[in-house]
Amino acid sequence: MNPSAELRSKPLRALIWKEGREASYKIAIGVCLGLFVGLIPKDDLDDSALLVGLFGAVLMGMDAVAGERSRGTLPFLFIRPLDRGWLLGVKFVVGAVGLLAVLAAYWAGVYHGLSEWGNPQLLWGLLWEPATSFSLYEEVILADVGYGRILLLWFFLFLNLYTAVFLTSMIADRTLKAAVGGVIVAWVAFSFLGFTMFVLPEDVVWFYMSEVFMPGIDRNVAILRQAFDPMLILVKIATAALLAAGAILWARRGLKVQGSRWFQWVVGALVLAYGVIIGSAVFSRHSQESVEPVGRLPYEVPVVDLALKDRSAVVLLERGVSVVDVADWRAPRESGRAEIEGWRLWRLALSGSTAYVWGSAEAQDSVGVAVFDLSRPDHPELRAQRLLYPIEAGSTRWLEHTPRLVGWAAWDGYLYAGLLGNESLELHSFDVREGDLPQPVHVLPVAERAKHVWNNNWEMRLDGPHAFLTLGHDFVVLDLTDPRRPEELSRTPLRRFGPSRRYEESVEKLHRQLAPGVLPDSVALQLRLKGAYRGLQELEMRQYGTYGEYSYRIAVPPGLGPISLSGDKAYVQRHWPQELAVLDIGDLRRPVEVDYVAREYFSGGLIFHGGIAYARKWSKIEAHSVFDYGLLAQRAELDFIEKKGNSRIYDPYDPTPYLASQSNNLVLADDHVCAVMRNNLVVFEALQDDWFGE
Amino acid sequence: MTDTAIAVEGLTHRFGQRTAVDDFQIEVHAGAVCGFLGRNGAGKTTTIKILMNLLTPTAGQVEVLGLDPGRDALALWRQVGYVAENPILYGWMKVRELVWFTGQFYETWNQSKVEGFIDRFGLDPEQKVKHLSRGMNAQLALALALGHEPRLLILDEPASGLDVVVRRDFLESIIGLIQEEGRTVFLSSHLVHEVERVADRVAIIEAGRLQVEGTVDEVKQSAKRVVVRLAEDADELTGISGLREVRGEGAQRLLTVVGYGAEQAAQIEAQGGQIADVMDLSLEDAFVAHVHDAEGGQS
Repeated sequence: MNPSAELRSKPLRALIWKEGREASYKIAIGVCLGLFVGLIPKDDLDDSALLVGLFGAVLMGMDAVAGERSRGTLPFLFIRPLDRGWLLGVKFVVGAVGLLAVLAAYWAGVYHGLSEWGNPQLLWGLLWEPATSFSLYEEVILADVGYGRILLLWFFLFLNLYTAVFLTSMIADRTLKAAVGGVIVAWVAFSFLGFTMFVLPEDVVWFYMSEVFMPGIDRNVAILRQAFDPMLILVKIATAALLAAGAILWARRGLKVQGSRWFQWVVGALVLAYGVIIGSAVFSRHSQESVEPVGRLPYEVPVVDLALKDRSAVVLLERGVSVVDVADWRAPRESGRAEIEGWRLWRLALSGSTAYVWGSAEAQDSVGVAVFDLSRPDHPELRAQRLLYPIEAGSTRWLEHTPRLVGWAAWDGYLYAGLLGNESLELHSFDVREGDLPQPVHVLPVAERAKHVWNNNWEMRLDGPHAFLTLGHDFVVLDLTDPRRPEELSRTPLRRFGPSRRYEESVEKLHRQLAPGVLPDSVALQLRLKGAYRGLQELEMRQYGTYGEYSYRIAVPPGLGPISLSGDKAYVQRHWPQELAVLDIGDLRRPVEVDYVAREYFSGGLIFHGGIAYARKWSKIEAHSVFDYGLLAQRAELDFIEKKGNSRIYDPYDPTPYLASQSNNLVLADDHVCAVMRNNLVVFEALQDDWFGE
Repeated sequence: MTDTAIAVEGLTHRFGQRTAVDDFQIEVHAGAVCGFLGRNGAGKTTTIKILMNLLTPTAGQVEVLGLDPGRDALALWRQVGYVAENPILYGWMKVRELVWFTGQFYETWNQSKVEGFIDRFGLDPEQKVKHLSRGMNAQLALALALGHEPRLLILDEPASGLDVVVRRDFLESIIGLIQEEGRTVFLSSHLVHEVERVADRVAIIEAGRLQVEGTVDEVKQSAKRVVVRLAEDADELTGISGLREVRGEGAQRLLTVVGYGAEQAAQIEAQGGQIADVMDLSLEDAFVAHVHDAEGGQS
């Protein structure tokens, strides 16, 4: 040890002893409280975790300097011959260790609670309605992330707040002022993060800043990305360390024995400025531009699906096909309609002037294909219909036995259907070059009916001679060049975040409970299912209108969802964490995950046109500028206001667009966006590239 | 070793609009005990805090033991012992712990010396600092300030809070002891008697300005009380430079004059006054005489 180091180590030891003794009561109180809050059952984990972090950071930071200043001991300490950087550094580190201890106790409580009693919500839930008030969402995340990682993330998140409070403590002359001022300063700084987006030249900086200061326990499960992405962890740690070092270095030079008498005025001015800026931002707000349609054609029955053919739009109605003349986009006009009796239609594919429609025959509870001839737009005709997979009438076992259509497209004289049966996922090819009815030519078994396709947003994307789908954590490309012998081109495992073990166990269990023969066929089904889905995030049983059909949506397992295609890029919806994985599919045999778009979720994928991405969210359509560094910075809404008398019709749960498929139900052609919305065929002008401005 | 322990030139410090120290200068020679006299609020503590780099001056040059406090604070703190006015120590520590804690910062720490002082002051090492009386607290602070064998000891109102007996012991014996070791003491106080007992030099500050500086005798000599007889029809005496106070009625006046000399004598005589006697002042009277000036007037 060199002499100067030894010289330094003695006073440092003494300082650590002194600061540790002074902080010990605070740490003890914080640890007890953290443990207690961690252990008690709670409805909302992120809220309680945020509060504990806030409490810990403020408790540890507030009297770091202001405390000694108000007690009057500061001059005694300050005339010791030791660089103030060390004095402050020891204070900072001891407080930070205290913060770590508080958080460690809290998370230990939470994890102990989880392992002893399962999700803390269970305890609350038992008090009233255990079957419906469950959400084991957090439990599953926490099991995946693990104690160490979550502690690390939470510590470095709140180290920033602690630094802010520590800084104000160096200026303030009273502990309480430091506490209040620190929280205000941190809050204002955090709020201004959003504004920096318009100032910072590089989106990448803004992106990392927003990730660093965002707690990840939210609906986007961003915590998984934060916990397993080394870059984000590194940036998080580096940011906190830089802020802390900056604060200490600044204070080392500027620290005064006296506190600032003007401190409260400075904080007050800050709040005022904040209020003025936020206020003016709210008043001048037009970030969500609303785009009105240029043309609209209302129907008296629900509209289900849509396709474009030359200057005609083919609109699939629940019980028929409508051909619409869109030569003038502003005045769409129905030229003809063909209907089918006793069927309910779901999905449309066009090949030449023939429409192939996937539907179900209500009487038989079976699915099939209906074929319409559209060669005369003013007089479309039903040409043929065929039932597939007929099952016993009246049985509720349709749930297991009727295959679900997950992909439907016609290409080059062949028709393709992705069918998710009870046992397996298959790609069926039909020859439609001759005759009215599609002739089956091949069945490609793609996968066993996997647990990961248990959500109804899952789809097989058929695009020209290729089919794209996700299976669990794999991205799969099928080659359809030879319809009689389609083959799998590649199966690429995408990145996984966390083991997801807990989740998969839950899904496994659910799977067993939903095995054929287990399901009852009465209204009790709903309750039984809720019981069975216990381990899962979300269960929605919906009864749509008068049709008496159940649509069930359960937790999306931590796999991949819909795929969107744009040039040589594929955007794959990842569920845990919720984001879009960006794949380079230049070489379809070797897709590579190159990037991601954080915190986004598109149930039906995206449609790209001229540098703008369209997606359906609820009953509206959102337009996004194309991504750069995980940002969808600006958006527009494509929607229209429908009025009945004087009242506005708006039902966000309007199921119409979702009945047939989970696709977007929007088509782009000739610089127009065509969509079905709430019993309407609607035409918008496509946004231009520069629509979002520079 | 420099001969000058403290050298201050043109020192000014303002708190906002208020000027606490105004173009102040002083020079304290090494080995001296310098009493720094001034009324409450005269600028003593501000000056001392600047010497200790606890405040940054608005203007002026400061040198303490040849060091610039702003630039060489660490070297300064290594060589200077400082006891603040009403020093606040860590109350939760025991006396022994506080001594250990303070000692960790210095290479030159003399533990036995500090223990000797603690013993002499009758402090219990196992007692918590917060349970010490005010006097004991001041004594402990002094012991701690001496632990690292400082070349210069700066005491800000060390005697305020002490009872008479302790004050004597504290000031006379301790400071005597320190001076014997060749250390410099800079001692601020508003209690003139105390300072007179121990200091060989005195500086008087009022309203942030230095009024007078010198040995105790020089300071005493710096003002005189003059007994003047006036003729019956004479006017009041005016225009006498350094006149601080005029007392008396009728034919006799008692003048307090700062910097009394032949010039003032001539001025008095020119106005028909007859100087009956010139008396020396006590330090306290001299102090009051100097302090009056700053109040701006004859009373």
